[in-house]
Amino acid sequence: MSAMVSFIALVVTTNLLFGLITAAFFLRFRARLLVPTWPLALAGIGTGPFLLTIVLYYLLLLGPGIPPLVLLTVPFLFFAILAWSAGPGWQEMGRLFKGIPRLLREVSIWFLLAGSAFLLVITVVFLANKPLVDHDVLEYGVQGRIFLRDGVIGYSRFRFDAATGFHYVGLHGFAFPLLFTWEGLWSGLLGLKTDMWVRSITMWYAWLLIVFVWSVLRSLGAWVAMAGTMALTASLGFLFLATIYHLDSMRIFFFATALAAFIAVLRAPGLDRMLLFAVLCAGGSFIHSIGAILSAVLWVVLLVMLRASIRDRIRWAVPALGLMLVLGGVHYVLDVLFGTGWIFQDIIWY
Amino acid sequence: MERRALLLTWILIIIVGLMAIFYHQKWMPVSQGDLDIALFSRGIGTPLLLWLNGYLGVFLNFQYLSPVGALAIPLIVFGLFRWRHLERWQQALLVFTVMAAAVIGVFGGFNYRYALTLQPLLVVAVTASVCAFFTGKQRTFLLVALVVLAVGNTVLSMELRQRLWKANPDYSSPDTRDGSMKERLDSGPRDLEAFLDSNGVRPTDTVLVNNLPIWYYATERPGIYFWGGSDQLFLAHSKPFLFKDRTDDQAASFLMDSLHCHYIFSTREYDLYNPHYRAFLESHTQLLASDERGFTLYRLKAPSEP
Repeated sequence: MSAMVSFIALVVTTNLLFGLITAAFFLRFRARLLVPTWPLALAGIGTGPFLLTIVLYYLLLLGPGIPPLVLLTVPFLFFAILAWSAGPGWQEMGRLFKGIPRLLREVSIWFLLAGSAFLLVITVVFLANKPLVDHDVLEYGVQGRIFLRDGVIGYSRFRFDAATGFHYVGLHGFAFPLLFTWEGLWSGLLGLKTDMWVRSITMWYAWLLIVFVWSVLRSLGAWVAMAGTMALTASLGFLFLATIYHLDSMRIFFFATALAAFIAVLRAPGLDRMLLFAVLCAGGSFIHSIGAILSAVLWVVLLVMLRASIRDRIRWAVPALGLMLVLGGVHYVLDVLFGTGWIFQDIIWY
Repeated sequence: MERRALLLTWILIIIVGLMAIFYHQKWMPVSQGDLDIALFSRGIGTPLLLWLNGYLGVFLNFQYLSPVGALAIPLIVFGLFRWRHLERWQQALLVFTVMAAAVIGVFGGFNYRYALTLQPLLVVAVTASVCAFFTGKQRTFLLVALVVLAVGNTVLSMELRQRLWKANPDYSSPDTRDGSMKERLDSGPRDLEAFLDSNGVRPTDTVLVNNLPIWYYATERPGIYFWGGSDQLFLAHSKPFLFKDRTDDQAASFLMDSLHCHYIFSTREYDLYNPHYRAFLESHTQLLASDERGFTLYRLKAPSEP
């Protein structure tokens, strides 16, 4: 029962509260971004847990041995400041929610809701019956717990834990391991050892991805959105994406939102849109190396093909790339300079 | 013009549908045969499959991905021919898609998880293109065809998995495994601590762990991380080979005398990846236990033991 209390508390605070605060913060800039409201809000909701991992990352990187209580408290202070900064974004979100009854009058959205309910049932079945057993996610889980136990993130050529002999072979940013750290903090307070919330993250981001794709295609027509969403989700790979505990749904969600922002920047170049693009690229990058590599490709294509003067490109790209570096990109710089060498080492394929 | 485009679109959908049928029924092998186990398990055991599931896996890995993504290939070709008529963002998206597919294809296309990355982009692009080119009933029929294509492909994929399972007793997946929902979804060791205790492994005994992070997640016991497939030990300051440049006797004494390790924890599946490692298990270890989920526990034999 206590594991369930911890799970619900984490869903309410991290997925919903932190997600909605970030969404409101994004919506504050909607008039300047000139992007559709629902996709922007969904991107914000998904960005909440990512920003949490960034806060945890810096606390563990810059404050070695930091007490668990401080580690638990600072993210709340960060999101309180973000909530306050969101200002008019809350009214925008209020308007968005007021429009939901109108949306519910469309027949097609009931298919989306039925699909969502189906995913919820699958989630309950999996959380109740499938523990954490798959290779990669266990690696992230062990590393996340080591971060919590030691209260520090350091960089060395070999990420080896002398206490157990564990050798972390992951190449990627620490977003996913830090979700284990976060759940470990909470469950530690309750005297529990549970990972139910991190397991549910797979389904949460799969659902956000589905709704995001639906909201993008919705502008072409309600039934178009339904057909496109079905064509995407009716594959074995997507079924595994939504059910096998892993970081893939989270990274693909960020990749999809970054692509939408990429199109938005190209259609109407400007600093605001480029900053949004940078935040979403940072999310994908801090989760997985493939996100970092594809983000680099996106940036190259964007900067080459953007219809803007060289001066404007530099004026917009420098702060945007700086923001991306701050939001997790720094991990790869540190890993190359002082750590494992990232992808510039002999990679072992499993 | 629209009539020709419609005919061409239907032809392309039918071709992709036929490809999906051939892929599942003819091209994908259901047993390893003479193929390398790693290439077979990755679905790239033949030159054709290396292209379908490897280099072009982003588009054509029908076992896991929606075949609607395959329709992005003619869309890309069409975009390249009509380059000057495209808007700037469309050109950029086209360039990015080609570059991203190349990056994923070259470095990890065989891994469907990486190939899955571009699926939202490809499916949305194909769906949006249908909407851009066609209207009315034509559009509706085409959208329905895309859904039917995706669903039909999934049926073929599931049927292929059933045949794989029947041909390979070791093939294990929740959709093919017998038992209750919990037994099908939980492939981990039932109670690792009890499993080890009952086989005489003390909490302080160091164990060679063959690529099973569950060891570190479920226990506090000391382990030496190892991957039999690449013959590498993952130590504090290096990742040396275990068997390369050592005889089996030397490898055994290195494990016991230098690393103070007398046990190996692995799985039946992982034991097959490296023939040398498998031969070592047969000659220099004693199988202490093997559970119903495939986990294996070996004890290294002392040099004097037969």
